[in-house]
Amino acid sequence: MKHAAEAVDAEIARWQAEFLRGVQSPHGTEHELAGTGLWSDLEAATRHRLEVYRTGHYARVSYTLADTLFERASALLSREVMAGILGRFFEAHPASAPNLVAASEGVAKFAKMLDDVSEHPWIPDFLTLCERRWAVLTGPDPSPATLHTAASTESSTEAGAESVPHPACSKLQANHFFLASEFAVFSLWNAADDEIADIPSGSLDACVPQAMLLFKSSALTLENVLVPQDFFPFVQALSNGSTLLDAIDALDSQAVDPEALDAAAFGAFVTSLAARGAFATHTIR
Amino acid sequence: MTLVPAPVLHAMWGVGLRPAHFSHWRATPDLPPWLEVMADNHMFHQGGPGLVCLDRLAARTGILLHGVGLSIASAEAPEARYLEALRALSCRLDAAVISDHLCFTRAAGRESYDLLPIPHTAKMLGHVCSQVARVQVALGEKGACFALENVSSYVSFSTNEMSEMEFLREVCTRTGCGLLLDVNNVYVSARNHGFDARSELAKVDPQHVRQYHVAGHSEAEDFLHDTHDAPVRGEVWELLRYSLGRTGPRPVILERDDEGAHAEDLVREIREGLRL
Repeated sequence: MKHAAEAVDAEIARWQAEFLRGVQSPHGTEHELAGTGLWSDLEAATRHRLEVYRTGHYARVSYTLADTLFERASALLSREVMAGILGRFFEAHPASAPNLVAASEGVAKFAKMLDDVSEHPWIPDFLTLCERRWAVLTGPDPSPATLHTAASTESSTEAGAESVPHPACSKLQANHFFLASEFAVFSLWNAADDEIADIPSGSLDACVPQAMLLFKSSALTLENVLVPQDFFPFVQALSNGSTLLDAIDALDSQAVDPEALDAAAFGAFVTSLAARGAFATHTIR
Repeated sequence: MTLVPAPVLHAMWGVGLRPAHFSHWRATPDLPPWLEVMADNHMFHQGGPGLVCLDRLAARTGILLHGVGLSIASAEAPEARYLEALRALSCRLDAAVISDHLCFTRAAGRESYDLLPIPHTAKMLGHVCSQVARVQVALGEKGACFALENVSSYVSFSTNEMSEMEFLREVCTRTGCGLLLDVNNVYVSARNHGFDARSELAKVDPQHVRQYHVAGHSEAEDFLHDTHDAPVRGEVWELLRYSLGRTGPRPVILERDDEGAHAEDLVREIREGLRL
């Protein structure tokens, strides 16, 4: 009985694999499938319609993501160009995850290797930003119990004290992403926003290093913080898991000239992060 | 496993919930009796505005959960991670029906993201019934809410031993699974393969039907294409009324994937189609 069931499974696996090979073939279903068992199992009058599934597959993997996950990239590059990058990615890396977004992981890295993308070297970082924004947004929501906001800090400190969390027991929320880019990803992101749209992307100098910190201040709100260049090491240390105290130490040790650091600007930056809910309190054991 | 039959859902209508309409439904005081949530769009999320919106809508109206990635007819067993995510979302939203399609989407470890047709043979029937039983167990207390939907197809197998509705009737009889009857899909497949849609609907056991779908389609060179981007055709409404006459009232969901369609227009279309 067991052998019979295994034989049925093997037969199903055989024709389904053939079907999918045809659907994902860059050369067309007839080219791929003529002469196979599946080809002879199909009604001759309907075989040519296998192409419906093939064109549907490529449209789905390219345009669905170009219109959602990579919508801002489509706004900058055009929908067709973005869909073309995705189409080539899935041709080279057939999807194995039932979740299309998960299956697209690696598009940014793949884009680095494309000749036509190399003319616009900011594209891979921008695609990374698209991917990671989505990951943070749909990742775990911040817990109100541990989220350290200016309001919660103020209530626990004396009047007049700075509204920053306790440095030794505060870390960045686990669900965050820090992108330090050689390119102006933050400005490009805003330029691609229809609702902002006051920065024409054509006039942007993309070759300006920018860094962004992404986290959620609530289930509904994604915070995008432009990180000043002087504070990159500080935020990088936080992103690597350091406490606020250790990250401040890292900033001191990595600064070319610690004296040149604008303490007031740094204080304002940390306060702003705290006010937007970047920090979570953790227990010191 | 013995399934406690899911309650029959009467006399109502609804629409497929699409992200473009989230803000409309959040703001409108009168929600349709049912909203159908695309499970795959949300089930792998751990947080974020989409889940918040679904929670709020689920507190105000009935939720039906519809998936596209289960791949019930694949040679390989449904993915445990997928089933767990589906179960968790169905419990979270207290979904009254959890449905997916009679098709395969995955083979040899690869995903097609499309609803690929299967031959309707006795061998395939046995295989699908085994897979349905696995899904019902994995869904736990929600297992009785599971239903399979007939698909639109463009190619047909010369090895078919029964029609799609005969196949589904057997699956439902043997497993206790429900039927999500997509009347547009019956119409499209009937035209594409040259059979009579009404005769095919007559093969349905009315007791199996938990829910209906209606949608629009478009005409291609020598076939109809189930595109969900046009109003429901009059012939499809007629078929729906015929089938409702056999089954009695069930939730009827209008599916529309055209981004430009307004939620109010969908409500108007389905209410007019059902003559409410």
